[in-house]
Amino acid sequence: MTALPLRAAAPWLVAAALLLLSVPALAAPPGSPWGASYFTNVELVRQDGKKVRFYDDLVKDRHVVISFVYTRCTKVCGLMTANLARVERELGGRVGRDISFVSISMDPERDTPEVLTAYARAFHAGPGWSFFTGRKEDIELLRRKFGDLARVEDHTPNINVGNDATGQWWITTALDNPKYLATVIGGWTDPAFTGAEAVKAAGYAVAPRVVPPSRGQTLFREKCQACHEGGGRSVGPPLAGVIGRRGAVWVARFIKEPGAVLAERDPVALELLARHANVEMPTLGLSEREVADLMGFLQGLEHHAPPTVAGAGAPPAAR
Amino acid sequence: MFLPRNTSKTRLKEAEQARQHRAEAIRAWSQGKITRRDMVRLGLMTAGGAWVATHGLSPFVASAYGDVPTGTPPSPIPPGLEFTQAMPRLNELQRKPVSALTPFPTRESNQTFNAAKGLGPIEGRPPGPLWSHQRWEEFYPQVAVEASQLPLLPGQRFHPALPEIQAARFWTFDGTVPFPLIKARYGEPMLFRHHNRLPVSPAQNGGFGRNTITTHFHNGHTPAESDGYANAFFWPGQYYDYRWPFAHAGHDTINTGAADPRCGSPDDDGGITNLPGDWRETQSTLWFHDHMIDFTAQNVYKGDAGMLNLYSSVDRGNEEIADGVNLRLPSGSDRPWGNTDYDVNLVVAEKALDQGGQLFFDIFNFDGFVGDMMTVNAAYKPFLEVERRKYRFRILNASVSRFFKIALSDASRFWWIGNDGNLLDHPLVVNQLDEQGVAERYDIVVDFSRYPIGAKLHLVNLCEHADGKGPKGDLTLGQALSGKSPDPCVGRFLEFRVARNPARPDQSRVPARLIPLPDRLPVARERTFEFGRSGGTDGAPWTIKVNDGRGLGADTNRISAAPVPGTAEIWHLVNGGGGWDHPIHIHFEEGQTLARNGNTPPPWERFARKDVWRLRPSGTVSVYLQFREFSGTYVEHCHNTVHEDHAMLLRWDVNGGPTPLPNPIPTPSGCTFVDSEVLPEGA
Repeated sequence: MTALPLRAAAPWLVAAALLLLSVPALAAPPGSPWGASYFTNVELVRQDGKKVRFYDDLVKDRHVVISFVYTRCTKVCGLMTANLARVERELGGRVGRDISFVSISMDPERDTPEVLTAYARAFHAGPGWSFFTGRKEDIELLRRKFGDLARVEDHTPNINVGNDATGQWWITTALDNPKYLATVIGGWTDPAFTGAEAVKAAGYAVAPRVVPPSRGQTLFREKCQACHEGGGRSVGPPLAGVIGRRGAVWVARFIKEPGAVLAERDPVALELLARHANVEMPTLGLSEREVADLMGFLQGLEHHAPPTVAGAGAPPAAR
Repeated sequence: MFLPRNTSKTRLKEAEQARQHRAEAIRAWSQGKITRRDMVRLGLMTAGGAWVATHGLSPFVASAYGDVPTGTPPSPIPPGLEFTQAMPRLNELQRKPVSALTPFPTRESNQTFNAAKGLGPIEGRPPGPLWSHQRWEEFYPQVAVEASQLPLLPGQRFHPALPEIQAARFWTFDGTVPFPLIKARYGEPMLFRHHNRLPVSPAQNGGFGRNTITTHFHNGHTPAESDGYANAFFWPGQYYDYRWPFAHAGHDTINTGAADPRCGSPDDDGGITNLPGDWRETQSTLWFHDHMIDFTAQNVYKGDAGMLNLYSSVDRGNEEIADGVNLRLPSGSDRPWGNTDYDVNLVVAEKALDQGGQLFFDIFNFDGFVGDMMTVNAAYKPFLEVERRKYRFRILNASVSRFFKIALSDASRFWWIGNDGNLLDHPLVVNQLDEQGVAERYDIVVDFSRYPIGAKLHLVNLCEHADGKGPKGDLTLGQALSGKSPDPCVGRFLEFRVARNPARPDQSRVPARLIPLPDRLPVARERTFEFGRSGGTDGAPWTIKVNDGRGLGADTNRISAAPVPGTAEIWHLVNGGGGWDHPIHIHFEEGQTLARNGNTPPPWERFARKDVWRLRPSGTVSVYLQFREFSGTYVEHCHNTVHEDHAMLLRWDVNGGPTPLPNPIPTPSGCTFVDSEVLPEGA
């Protein structure tokens, strides 16, 4: 899918959206099967302890992005959540204003409100993004409502972009390009969307040209950047200079099997885990060649490594 | 099992809740996706293995009521409706002069401000030179067809005894059923102006369907700007001018002097206008349908589909002109070309109704959606009166996920003359067809002269589904007719009534040779595409691996293959396994099937040109393709449209230019572009 540089919506646009949403306080439109009777009103608990009903409090009359994750996931949830954090930033201030993000734990016994609070903080989730726990069977029901029949360990990385005012749901993967996802969420599922801002800069002349990426760069963008793009708002540490700091052997092994390195109680890995709110690096399932491609790309970064600065919330790099 | 017709209201209500609760878990359990221990832990099953009958919130218990392929209760169809309504023929769209279009079509997208809407341009085609009509002067449109996508007009039904279809549930061409038919001929480029007059608010969609559309001409040899690219969609209040050249593939390199009348267009006096190109690339039976990114399944199910018969000097649509070129296939003789008296389009698709009798689609089902109500040309199990003579049928599988396998109810033989709308090298005499995946077109000829007046026989579906992942299996004719299959779409679905002798003697023919395969060029390169469900951390449920790279979901910003214009390639299409089947569709040019699992393919593939290949479980198909005449951005995808939407689709470009073509991002105010990137080799 694809990407649109989306700017913050013009104030009149927001006003129009609010007006549209504020007219009749209907739930899903008449005739839509995707209302309370479909989604149900199971009770969930927000990370601050507040109890909510799923449909009435989270979906009804809202423009909402629903994902299912769990904090102990070692495969994909961290990447999903990190990417959603980028989408949240792409959407400017709209998350919390006319769009809400909802992440529901598939491991509610372990993911207590306290655990979710720490998780949300680790990913720099804003006030319009809430994390929920609840009863296991209720959450399993919700997962099935959203079409995920797999075991929790093999769950889909989908997000469900719903606009209850229109009854339209757009289901796509949370791992897509954040600009594209911002387009789907902020534009294509928003009935007030006109695209007027974006079109001001239309034309292929302004479509930027990029140098064809290397395999390592492509991998970096898809698998690493969401958590390591730096700027103090990523969950993971910046990677510029990492090979110099840790050595190529350590980095290559950690990229390939972070879970195994942690299980050996490697001191560096444990220290990093503690420093990053106990959010484990996912085991990405990379092949030897993919690791080599990524190492090549990271080595290229070494030559352009800016001086490592601790600041803006970025964790200091270990020397 | 299905609920019996005399089921109590309470149970039906529970079953309707089951639909709402999706009731997928028994299947998930039986397939090992969840364990019995999970079920016990969730309080849904006792340790002894009995289902805990907790209604209401439980997603599991309800499936005991509605264990049908849809995962929902049966569509409420009163008994006895089979074969009680006449089959409608497709609505032939009016051909008119291009000058009748207002505003007049333009080479580049018409970006005039849309005053009626007060927003954006009137045409939704992306602006500028890259999306202008290629070779516009050379293939200047000579005829126009205009249609509007509309909510269904009042008073239309799948059967007179079924409820009127709500406008919000069915969005069709000009708001009518059955579907449209366009008649076109080679050498006569067509301007198809498609208006989007769907509701501006997506709230009026009846639970499924997207009001932005893009119309794919499947599988025309068409420049990319008129191919219906997934991202080149247009908004309510806009139109999109598609210009279909109707040039034979090989136009620029083969028979350039237009010396062979077999490469020709039927003229209005019964003669032939010679054309340049390869006559062995002649196409006959095509269709057009929505290709909206992430919403193709919903929109096509919702009625955005039609057929196009493409006439040529060899496949003339006139059975009496004997000039040594015309194959004289069954059609008729009133008009010099394009007769459809004895040449019948059959759009076969199954639907599902909710308990209110309204069209239902489950947008949260990602395995594939199958319905339980067979329709032909949007009519529930109709009958067709025929004369005692030969008929040609152009059968299209227009389902979302279901495959068919079609036979005649008396097990008698018929001719199989076309695969994916292209006439075979020679007719095959068969008593049943191969499985027919979504979007495949099979042309057959049946001779009814062997039956007495008053005889009835049926088209029968032998292919049984338990879900939308792929066929469960093919039944014998006897099994299919026994009525014992739990799949309600197995069995008879169209009745032929032999009504009378032909008004004039049947002069149609089924010649021993039809259209031989084109020559193959040396191959520039080979590529491998593996279609599967990737585990672990990969992006989407459905992914494609390019040349043994990583499994990737759709990203229309990413160019996964870029064949050099004018070259030929071999593409190996691999099913990643898991017992699924995937009908893979490649846009732009018809391919030749070189091998199936490394072996010689069956004759209906070996002697055919195709654009959709069923991979079969764990199968591999190797196809030969060329990339000629036109260029731009195309796609390749699974035509189980649920798989396509989530997200088994990739983009490939034919592009002679130095930089990747930018990707259009339409908005109501106009179209923007973003840069594309090329997938590195091996990534």
